Amino acid sequence: MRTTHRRRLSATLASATATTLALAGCGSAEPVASTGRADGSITYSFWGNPARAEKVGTVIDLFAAAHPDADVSVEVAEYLNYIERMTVRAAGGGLSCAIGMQSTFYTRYAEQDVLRPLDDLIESGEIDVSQIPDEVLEAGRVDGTQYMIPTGTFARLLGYNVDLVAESGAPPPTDDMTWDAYADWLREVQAGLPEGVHATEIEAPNMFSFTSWVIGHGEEMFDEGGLAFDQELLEEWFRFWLDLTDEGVTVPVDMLAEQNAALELTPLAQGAAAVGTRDIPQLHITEQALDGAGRGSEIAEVSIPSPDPGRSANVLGTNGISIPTGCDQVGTAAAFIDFFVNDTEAALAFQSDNGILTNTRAQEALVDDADTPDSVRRNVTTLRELTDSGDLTTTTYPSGLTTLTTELSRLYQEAAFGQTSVEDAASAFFTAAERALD
Amino acid sequence: MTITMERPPGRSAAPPPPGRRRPLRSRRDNLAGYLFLSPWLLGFFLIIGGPMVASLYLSFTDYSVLGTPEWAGTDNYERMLTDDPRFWASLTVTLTYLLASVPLVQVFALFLASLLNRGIGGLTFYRAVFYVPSLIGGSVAIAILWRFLFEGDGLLNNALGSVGVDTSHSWIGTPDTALGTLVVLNVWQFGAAMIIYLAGLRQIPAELYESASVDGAGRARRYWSITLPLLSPVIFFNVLMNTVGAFQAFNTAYIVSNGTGGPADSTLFYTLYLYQRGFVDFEMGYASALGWALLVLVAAAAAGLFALSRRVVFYGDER
Amino acid sequence: MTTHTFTARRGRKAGPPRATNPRQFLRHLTLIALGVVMFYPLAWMLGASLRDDGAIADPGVWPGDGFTVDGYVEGWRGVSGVAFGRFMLNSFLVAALCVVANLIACSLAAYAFARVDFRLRRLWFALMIGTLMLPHHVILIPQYMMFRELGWIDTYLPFVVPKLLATDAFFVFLLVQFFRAIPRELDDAARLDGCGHLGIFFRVILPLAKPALATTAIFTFIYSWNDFFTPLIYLTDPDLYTVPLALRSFIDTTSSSAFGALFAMSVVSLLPVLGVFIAFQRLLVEGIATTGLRG
Repeated sequence: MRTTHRRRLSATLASATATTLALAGCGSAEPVASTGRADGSITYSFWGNPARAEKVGTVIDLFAAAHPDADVSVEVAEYLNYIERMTVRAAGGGLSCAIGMQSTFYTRYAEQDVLRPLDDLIESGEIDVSQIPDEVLEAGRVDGTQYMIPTGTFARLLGYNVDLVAESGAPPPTDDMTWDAYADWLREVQAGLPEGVHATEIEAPNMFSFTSWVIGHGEEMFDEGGLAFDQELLEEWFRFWLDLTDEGVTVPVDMLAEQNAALELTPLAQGAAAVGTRDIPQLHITEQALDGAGRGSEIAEVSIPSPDPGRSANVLGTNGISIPTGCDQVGTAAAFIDFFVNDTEAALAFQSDNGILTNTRAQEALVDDADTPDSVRRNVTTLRELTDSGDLTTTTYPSGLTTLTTELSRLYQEAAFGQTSVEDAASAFFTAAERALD
Repeated sequence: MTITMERPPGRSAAPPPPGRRRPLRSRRDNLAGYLFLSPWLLGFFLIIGGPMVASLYLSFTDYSVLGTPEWAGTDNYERMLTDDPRFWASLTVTLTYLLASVPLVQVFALFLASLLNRGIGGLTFYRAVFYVPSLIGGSVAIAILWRFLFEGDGLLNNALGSVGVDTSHSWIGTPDTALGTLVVLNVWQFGAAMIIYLAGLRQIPAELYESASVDGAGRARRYWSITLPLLSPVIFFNVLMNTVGAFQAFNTAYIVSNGTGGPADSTLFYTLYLYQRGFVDFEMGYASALGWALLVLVAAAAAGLFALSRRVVFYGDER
Repeated sequence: MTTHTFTARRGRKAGPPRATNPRQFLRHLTLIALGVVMFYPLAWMLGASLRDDGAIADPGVWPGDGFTVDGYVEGWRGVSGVAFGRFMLNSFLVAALCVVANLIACSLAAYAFARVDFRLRRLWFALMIGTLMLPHHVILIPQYMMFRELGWIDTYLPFVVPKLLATDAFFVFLLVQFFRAIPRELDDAARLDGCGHLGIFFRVILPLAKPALATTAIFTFIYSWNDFFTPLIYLTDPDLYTVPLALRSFIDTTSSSAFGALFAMSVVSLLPVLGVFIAFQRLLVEGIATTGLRG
């Protein structure tokens, strides 16, 4: 009996070894050189809704007309599902040749050699990046190597419900508020709001908002060794919001879950809160939702508060496209990215659906085109104004950022529900960061 | 795995031990057994076994998903036991969920199956009504709906308000009650268990009831002494499977909490935590260790249930 | 239980004798009350599917002013230029194949465990139960690598082949439990008639286990129909997408969501499962209780 056991076990082990060996072999393949021709078939994977998929479909039709020998198919999934699928496929070496990436999570893939360096393709002119501002391009680089071509940018701003604020009797917010002035203004708004409506959503668990807080305080989020700011700064952030909640100025803590839900169901979009931070393109979606809920109002935007009005705290994020190391149709993938970034018709068709497009010439074309919806035009002009006035800032995105994003939210909730002290929550964040940023 | 391998479940678990009926297992039976079992054996070795052993190996490594696994000895297991409060938190959440929902599901499912089994008019209709919630499974639509039901100004509170109980307590947004709403969700989908019970009830020969009636046994007594014993293999199946299912509950919590397990980890099911470690934190080695620890736990629970079943489950093939 | 002289019974009304009227009435009352509570969420979903996207947070059932069938129109258009009907067909094909595969493979394995004495049976049984206990997330990546090596990406093989090889231990175990409830006397009788294991399997066990087989068929269909992770990982071509993939893509947390389309297509995609349930549920009632035992 015992020997049979052992024999069975070894048989099982043998069949498993194959899989294990496969596990060890991934990601180390040498990148394939480009043929310089767009004559293969590739798949472009990205995240988004059916409306976006439709626009990408139009772009691909245009591309097919320009490159008759190439064949591009699409694959779309919801954001979180998209990332999960990509992770599994990256581990198994099955990524498609053009993949949607975001500054918030692409570093890990770049550092682990999942993504192909694109500098040779830029040098050979296969991907023309001359129309993309260098500070935007920088968001696709890790240690000086370009791994992602930025196709769209987004910045998180303070959105406010114009009607609700007017109803409260408080003046509209301004672009140069300090956090203290902002808190006072929120209190003023709250005083004039009807019962059940709160001045603001809770920003504490949001990594973008916290990044604004840190940068506005003149510190950096990350350095070589991990977190670059002091634990006290995080504690102050938590307290800032806990106090406002205690005063009834924010939505109740038990509505935090709603804030994580689909954009249309957030307190700002349901008229239950007057202020909340949103990425620029999300402002319009919020307006539509308010309209549908019978509480229609314009959502206007101002800059995120900063202790030093001269120091911008509007953090820029970037979406882009990468080519994985394992791709054997580099020529076609490069041609597709080039087309996506530079073709004016493609830009008009895509309508900046995933972040404001990065090609400045295409931006102008989009603003000038009569068919461009007002909401899209507004997105582009808002970002251009911020760029022109220098009211934008960037941050670095280390590999472990996704972990820290979930930790921030979780630990704030524990503090807010009284399960732990602010000090312990902040120190737990630093402990988690040690492992995540290792 | 090792636990079940070294200690096969009790007598009643697998069919009665060979030798009770015929002292010698015939060559024919051996051949027939393995022939009947051959699809499963193939599947076990080709499809399940490899990945399982691979994950066992990975549980002893530091594996970032995108890189190469590096041997780490028992580090992952030590970390789990000594240096990871969230592991224990997720275990508590899971066990609470299990102890609340498994019995409730059985009670509802068995109660309704028994009601429906008694030649009632409109059986087809009722059965469909009670089963439909199970059809939608872990749909995104349900996630949104659950929020509307249990948020502060949600449907439940509206209903409570109309009977004079005014509250704006957000059942789904507060750590104390969030898990409860998921238990309700699970119980709401008791239809699957009900169907299995109904099928089981249908296998009980009606003649037994008739002869018991002749003997003058009352309704409750008939239920107790005929229905329950004859249904016990099915009850055992449902309890065991729902227990295993509760240990691995993932879908609803993932969808309702948007993958976070919040508020404040109050719905952080074990597998949700495992998922976060593996796919958000890219610690697949640690996630694999969590997976194998769960296997040991579930196996222990199952062994317990099998041991219990030896005393309370009655099989038709025993004599 | 020790005799097999049960008389054959026909007709639908099995179980204990019908109860008296007041009891019956009470029972209906209980069932209806419970049914209403159970059904409310679904009624809401139906209402929401006929409502304007913006009015989605309305907890009422009646669509009211926002009444629109846009959700159905928009949802039916599908994703990436592939109509929703195509996803339904795909799902139906996959689910039907899985049902057939599971019925064959699981009943074979279950018969072995329930009725045949062979060496190491208990070990295999324990291993079979053991495969239920490992969370699937930890085998996701190794399994993906394996199927990719086999060239199974963008095919339905990762869905069907594992089922053909009886890896769905839940159903093996389910059938074992039901097979074991069938009295062994029947096997012996068949054996006297000259039947081997194959004969017993086909002539005794399968006919008597109809409710269990119907349960297996219904559940397999529903689980396959609702399965989200397998298609997410293994399918890239939108022409091959199944319903849950399409449903999830209506919601995107980073941009706008098509709630109307989501709810409308959720309702539409319930219909085939409901149909299958109603078609198979007839078999659920055909147990020993109704068909009787040929002693």
